Amino acid sequence: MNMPFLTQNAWLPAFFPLLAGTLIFILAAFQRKANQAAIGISITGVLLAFVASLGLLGARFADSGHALQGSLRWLTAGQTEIAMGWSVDNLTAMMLVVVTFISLLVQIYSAEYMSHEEGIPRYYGALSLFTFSMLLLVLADNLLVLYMGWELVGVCSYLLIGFFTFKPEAAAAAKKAFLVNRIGDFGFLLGILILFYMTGSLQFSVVTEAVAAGKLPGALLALAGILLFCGPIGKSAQFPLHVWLPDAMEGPTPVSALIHAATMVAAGVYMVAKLMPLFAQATSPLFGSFLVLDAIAWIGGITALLAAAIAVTQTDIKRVLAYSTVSQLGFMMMALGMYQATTEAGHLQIIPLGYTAGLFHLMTHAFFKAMLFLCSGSVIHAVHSNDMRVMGGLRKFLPVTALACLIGTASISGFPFLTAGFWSKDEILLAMWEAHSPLFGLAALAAVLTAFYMFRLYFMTFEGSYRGELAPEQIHDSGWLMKGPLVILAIPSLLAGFVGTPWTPPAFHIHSFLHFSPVGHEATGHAVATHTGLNPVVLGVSLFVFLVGLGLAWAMYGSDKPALAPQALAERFAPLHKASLNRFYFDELYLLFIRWVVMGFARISAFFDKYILDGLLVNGVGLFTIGSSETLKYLQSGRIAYYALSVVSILVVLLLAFLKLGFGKVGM
Amino acid sequence: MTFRFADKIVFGLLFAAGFLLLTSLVLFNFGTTLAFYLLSITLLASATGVVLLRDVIRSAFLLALSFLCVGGLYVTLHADFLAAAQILIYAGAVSILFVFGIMLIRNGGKNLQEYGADFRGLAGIFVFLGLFSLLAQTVWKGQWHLEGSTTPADLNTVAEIGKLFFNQYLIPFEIASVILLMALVGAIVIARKEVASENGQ
Amino acid sequence: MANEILNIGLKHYLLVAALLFSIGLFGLITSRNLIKVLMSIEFILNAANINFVAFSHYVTPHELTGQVFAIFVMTIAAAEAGVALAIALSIYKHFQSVDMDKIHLMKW
Repeated sequence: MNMPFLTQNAWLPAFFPLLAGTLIFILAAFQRKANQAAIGISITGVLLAFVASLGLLGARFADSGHALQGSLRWLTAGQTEIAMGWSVDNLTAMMLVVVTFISLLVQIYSAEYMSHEEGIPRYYGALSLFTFSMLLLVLADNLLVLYMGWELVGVCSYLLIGFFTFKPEAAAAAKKAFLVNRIGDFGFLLGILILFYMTGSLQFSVVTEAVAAGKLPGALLALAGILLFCGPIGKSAQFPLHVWLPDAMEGPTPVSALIHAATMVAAGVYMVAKLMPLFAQATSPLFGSFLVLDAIAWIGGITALLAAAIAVTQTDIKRVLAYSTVSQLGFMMMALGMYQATTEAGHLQIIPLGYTAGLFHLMTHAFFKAMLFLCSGSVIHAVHSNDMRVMGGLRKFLPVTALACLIGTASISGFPFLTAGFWSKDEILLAMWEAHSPLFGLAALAAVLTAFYMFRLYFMTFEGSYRGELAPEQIHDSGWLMKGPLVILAIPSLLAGFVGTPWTPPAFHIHSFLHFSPVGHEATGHAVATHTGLNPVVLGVSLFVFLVGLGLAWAMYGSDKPALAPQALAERFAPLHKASLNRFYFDELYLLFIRWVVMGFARISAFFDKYILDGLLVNGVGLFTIGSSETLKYLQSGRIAYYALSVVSILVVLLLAFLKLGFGKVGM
Repeated sequence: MTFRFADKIVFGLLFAAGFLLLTSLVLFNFGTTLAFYLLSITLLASATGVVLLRDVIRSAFLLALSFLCVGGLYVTLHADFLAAAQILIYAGAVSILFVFGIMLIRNGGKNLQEYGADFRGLAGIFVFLGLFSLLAQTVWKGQWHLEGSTTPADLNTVAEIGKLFFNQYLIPFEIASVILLMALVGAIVIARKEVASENGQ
Repeated sequence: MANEILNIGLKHYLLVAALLFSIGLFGLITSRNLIKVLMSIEFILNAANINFVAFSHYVTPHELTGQVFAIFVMTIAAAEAGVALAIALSIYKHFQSVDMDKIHLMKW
């Protein structure tokens, strides 16, 4: 590995998939059957990107000093210069590896999963372009390139969700995803514009320094902060813009694994982390003593609980996983919103507490959620249905898948000590405990629900007896192209947590690698020891949460004759159950809003345009002209004497007027 | 006051003026002042008569008289050639032309009730008064740069006019002759009996 | 005052011409007989002529440019009178009348 070359051209990981995607599209334009070639080119591209990312990660481990940077001048307008720049700090390096790794596995998986579908080159081309877009987003050193990548992942997501062109629901879901994202992006753009206007630059470093120097008044910074956060609300499917993610499950399962579990939705979390120096300086409250970071935490918390509450009643396996993703993203946002406020020299100083925890969970979640989605794909492939009510007892048919799913479920529910999910969730709870946050209870409740619905999913799918209609011979296991990635992903789902235990040496500890440094310093990684052992309260809560969730799920779904009948429970809490089943009526609310407010405005505008602008102004002018000319035509009587009279009389009047007004003094 | 009465007044004035003119010119030697006043009053009176009289043939004769007066005014302005031309052309040809025209029109429009106090008449009076007051004010209050001297009485106007015609104003002169030719041809074309088209094509 | 009246100057001629012009204009507007209208037009032209000659006499006594112009005007007026009467005869043939109020073909 030619390290100096790689470190100086840190944009390479993004370049390979771009090249691959472009080649695929060009190839597909000229050749009808390009499936094999498309798959090959795409996988090569992402493989090279993965290798390069590993190299960059190694470089960051070796020298955690200044971020690797470079830029290309792009636009100059007067004094302002906008560059396409890249910057690789520790956070970026981690994201690069995660994104390329999961993208690679998903592409391998898709080779078998999508083998019966049409339009493979389009699929792989879009996957490659998506990978490029995500890497561009992650590599960005200024807000503009970040926004570009942001929008591009949205576009690729649209293309991939709507991949099955014969399904109108897929097209509708793709549109919904894009539009809801757009709403968030609008706020994001406004925030970017405020920053640009006040600081004159879009580069992260320059902006943070300018803000630290006080170029932005406090209230404006708070406004910019909340506007900027609108982007992640859309992209990471937070409340209230979470409605697009469950519908996005209409797309192919590998796409869901890649985009809607591991990478694109994580872009929001990434962006909040990257802009944390900015948020940490937003010390002016939005109202009361509610800071921007509080808003982030509360929105994350509400999302976590809301999504978990919906997931417990869903019967579509992918939908459960989708709501689970939304909930876990809420957890991450909650973590990022945790801080400790001290008053130093008169003003408020904010020390973010959950920065590392949130990013740690991001990494582990990417691994096990992608694996869970791929497992569900395997199940769907075998049983040809998404509905968990017609599954059951599939463990004997799909042993590898079942094991992988069990590992993933354990991880997400927080199986103590052995799973990655436990350690990352523990970190989050620890951060919340240290911040004395009122959201701690809410997080614990959401965690209980998480464990419950995940184990519910596992039990309904793999345990008990088969409830479907297929004959046993028809249920076939997947090939190794599909099982391989599952197995590979199981490893980090178990082991990735070990970078964050109290017994990890500081050199390898995630807190050293990814910790928040206030403005003025880059994301360097000198050894910082922040843990002195396990916090017993938090540990107790985590264990309690896991056991309660597992226990409930076992009781209700563990065997064919459950100890606690789900039906009975549903009837006892009927209103809650009904609300949860209907996803708390968010979609209906939005539809109502569109019908009454948006269409109302549209109708008013249409009325105004049609009757006032068109009718009164345009047609009115025309009618006035016609009317006046119809009246004036009677002046032409045909009698010359009258014509002469009018000419002369007006001449006389004009002459008199001119003389009175002083035009033309005839020697007077 | 009807306009019939006005007829008589006007005629009376004209006769008186004419008489006075002739006698004064013969008997007295008051010079230009008297000539001017007599000529101008006659002129204006006959002009009024032309416009106001109901009988168009009487208007035609008064027209001829007014042309003669204008010729007289030219004489007082030492424009002798012009005076001769005026009498020849206007009083001699144009007036006859008008008389012929009236002759060719049956009834000559004799019985046309000219006007009552209708809109056009009143408007015309206002226009008349307005325009005249304007012009009069301009004339009377204007500072005309006069040289002080006037045309020498022994100036050979014909020769001088001839010199101007053939030196500076040669082209307008030629164009004027062309226009006359055009008018001649045009009048004939317009006024002749168009047999072909009257047969209903 | 008496001086003004007795000593004829440029202003007097111009005034006469103005009055003649106004009378001609009045006739032009109010006459109901087409021939009368043509006669009024001749008055207007004559008034202009008087102006020209008066100016020539008082303002440029040694150049007879004004008289030259007056001759041109006379020429044109004569030509115009001829053509106008021809047209009047044509109209009479068409409408059987020279009443201006009856000639309104070119109306709306």
